[in-house]
Amino acid sequence: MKNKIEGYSYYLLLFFIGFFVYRFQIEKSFNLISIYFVSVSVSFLAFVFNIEVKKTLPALFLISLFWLYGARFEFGVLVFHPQRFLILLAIVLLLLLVLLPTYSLKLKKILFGIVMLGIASIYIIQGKEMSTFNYIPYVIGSFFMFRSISFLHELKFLKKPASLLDNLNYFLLSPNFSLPLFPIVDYKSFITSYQGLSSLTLQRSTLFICRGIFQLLLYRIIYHHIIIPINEIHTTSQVVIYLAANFMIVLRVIGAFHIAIGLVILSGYNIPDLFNNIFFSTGFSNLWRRTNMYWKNFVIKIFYYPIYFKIKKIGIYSALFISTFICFFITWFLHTYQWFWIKGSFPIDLKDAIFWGTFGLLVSVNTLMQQKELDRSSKVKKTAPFYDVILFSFYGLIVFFVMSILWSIWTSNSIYRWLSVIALLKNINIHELFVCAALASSYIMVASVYHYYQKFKDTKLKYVQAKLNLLSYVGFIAMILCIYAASLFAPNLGRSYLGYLIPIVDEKLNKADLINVDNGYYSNLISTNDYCSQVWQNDYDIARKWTQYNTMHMTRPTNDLLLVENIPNQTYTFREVKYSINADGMHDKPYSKTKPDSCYRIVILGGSYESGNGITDNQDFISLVEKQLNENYVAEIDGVKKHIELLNFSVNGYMLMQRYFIYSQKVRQWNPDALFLFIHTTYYLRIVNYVNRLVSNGYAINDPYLKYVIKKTKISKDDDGGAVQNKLGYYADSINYYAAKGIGNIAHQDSVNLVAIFLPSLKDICGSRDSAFMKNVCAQSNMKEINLAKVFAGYTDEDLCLSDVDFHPNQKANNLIAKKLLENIILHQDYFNIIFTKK
Amino acid sequence: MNLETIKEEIKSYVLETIVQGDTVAIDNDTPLISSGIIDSISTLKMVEFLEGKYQIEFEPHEVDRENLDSVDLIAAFVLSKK
Repeated sequence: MKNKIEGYSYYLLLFFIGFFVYRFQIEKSFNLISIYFVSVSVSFLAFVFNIEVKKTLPALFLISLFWLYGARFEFGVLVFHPQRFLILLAIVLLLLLVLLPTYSLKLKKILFGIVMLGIASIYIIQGKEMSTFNYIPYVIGSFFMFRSISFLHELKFLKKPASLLDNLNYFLLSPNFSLPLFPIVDYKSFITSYQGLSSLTLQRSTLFICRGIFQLLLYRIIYHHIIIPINEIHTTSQVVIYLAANFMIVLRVIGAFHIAIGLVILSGYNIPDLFNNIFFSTGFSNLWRRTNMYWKNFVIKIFYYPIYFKIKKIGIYSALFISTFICFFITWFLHTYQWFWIKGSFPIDLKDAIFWGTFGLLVSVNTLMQQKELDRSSKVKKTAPFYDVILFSFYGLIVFFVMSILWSIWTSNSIYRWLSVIALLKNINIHELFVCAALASSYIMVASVYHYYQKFKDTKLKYVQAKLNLLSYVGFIAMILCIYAASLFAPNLGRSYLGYLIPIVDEKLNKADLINVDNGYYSNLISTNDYCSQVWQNDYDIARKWTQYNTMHMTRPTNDLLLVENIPNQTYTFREVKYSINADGMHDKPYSKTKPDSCYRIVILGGSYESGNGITDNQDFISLVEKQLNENYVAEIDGVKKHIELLNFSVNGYMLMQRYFIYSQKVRQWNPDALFLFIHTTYYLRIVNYVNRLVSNGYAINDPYLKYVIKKTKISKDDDGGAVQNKLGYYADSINYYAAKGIGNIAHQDSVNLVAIFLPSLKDICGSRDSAFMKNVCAQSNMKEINLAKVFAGYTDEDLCLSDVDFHPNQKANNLIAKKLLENIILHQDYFNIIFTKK
Repeated sequence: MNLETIKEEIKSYVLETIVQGDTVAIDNDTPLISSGIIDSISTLKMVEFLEGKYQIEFEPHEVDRENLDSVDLIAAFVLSKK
């Protein structure tokens, strides 16, 4: 580099960007920030001390491996796990020892295959869920699953063998740690691309990283503000927006890949471009050429050309068509193969077949048509530039729309659900038509500008695009600065426009995914195999973390209206804490079924909040309140002192109907004096889920009202959640009303003091509507009310949730609830006909 | 047949058959594959042209940037195969 100052300025910019990677939590769940800072720092040191940067890469790999697998923060303390680091290092060295020395290629392939089969068998032995050694195939697979194929393929044809250092660096690409599905870097391109820390490599690296961050921020805007939860789609234009937005969230993969490639280039290997504005593709074959070019080149080199050369005697067009089509089936298989390494399962389903089969057919036919067209126009044709630009934009619109539809099938939960959404397209009217036309026109306008620029841009300039584009990224830096500055003020401005920035600067779930988490969707992903999406990070990241907590099965099916119940006499380590169930199925200490005379017994009916998920035994808010009431207060009824018992009959996932049934079937026998019915805010969704599970499992429905509703609404076993929701309609609310009334009636018959306790949910999804409705229901059921609405005031959800994928209250939140509940019990002691006096 | 003649023939083929009416300037060292001027299908058609024109045969692994990324490289590769 002629001017060292130029280099320093790039590093300054990269560190500056690093601050935003940290602040905006870019790919936080994959530890991008750690990998980013280590990579930029090592590259910077090499630049300052004039060390050849490629010599530093093995050390960078070791640092990254140790940091991510040899040490971790546990409850704020740095704990070392040398065994995990050493196991991974030993396996990596073994694989390199098989791959890199010079000996028979055939034997090398056999040995490598045996070692990889051995590693893969860990998944088979351990099961696909997160378990003790599953990190081994996950890490090894992500580093070796494709690069080893490219390496072994090229070895045979290499004119000049690569150096040991280049070979090591090819396999030990540290950015791979933050992106398990890494772009398939071509071996030959990699080993011939080394240019060190030049102006060009620093420029391209910075450019790729900026581009990646820009795409990830754009993705967040789409993810949070444009995607419509599937249950809220009612109109044609909403379907169109849903389809387009779902396709566009592929920006997350594109952005992450750009950052990863930018970091590789920062290590001196000037590897080629990866994506080329896929949303402006002018045909299906054009889209295939623009999408993940590394993947396309890998498939072409390893499969397409060999197939084509084998069958080209049948004629060029037939050979092109057949080779292209076969390659799409191979692509399908390879996607499944990569899922095996990352997830431990081999998902094959109808949606994959539809996506890859249709896409393959479209590309094959399009390729053939284009070639025939080219052959027909053998003479140089005159161009009509503006006509071409508009035509390209129309083609682009068609491709975009068709791909959006295909993509939505591929990423849908079920074909049935997808069909029910698509069916809404037929409800088009003039207003909807106008909205759709406006959307299409907007695309045409933007695409026309893009194609105009592309058409008239000088080809040579295109080749050095990176150099010129850098200037435009000054604008990018200004933009993220503005977003950041505005986000600092946003929390104080409530629901103003600036408030919309908050989810963009933080890694948060959108409404649809919050609902999914609430309904346990992510906890089911790994066990159902219903899961194969290119936009895999969202689902996979959440599911992976969630299942770490959800592998214990603490309830058992009852095959009746309760659905499940706690398994008695069990002690678990659940969500990393001790969690016990007593002999009567309560998450509580043992109690005598016969109530002592000196006792005032309060039973608790609740769900997971009251069950103390993630809270160690006796530290949940129910236990804390019981302890404090007895230790700090004297309770008296008519001058007789009473000991207070709080019996916790809450069960994970119980909604109001199940609380009604457990009360009538079991709790009643415990002869309570008072009942605390905890009410949160997501019952509408839960009742849908409950009815769906009841019907789909074919349980006998012996409750007259439930039986009536199911018959009336014609809900059947084949209906999925969406269909059940549509059919239930207002009956969902009426079921809750029926359950509350039922609880009220029994309490009245038994002379039990019934109190509804309104406790807000953390990460509330649809709170205000449900909350108002439930207050009304409880009032009509003769319940007294304790409202803990402001219990979490002054704290953010992040302060009080167990984790970023588990929205149950943590210990701090439990302490807050206990304090507030105790205050309210004392304040409303007349609800219980009891007098509390402070000791 | 000399190198310069081969270069001229290949350049004409690229301009007339692949680039056609596009406003693209092709020099002997202009990157063809890495710049996206020719795609994988056009590459195969060019291979077919080269095989027919110069009576040579390509192996699948020879269809890559190392041999076909510019007029200069293609011409040198063709000469080496003859």
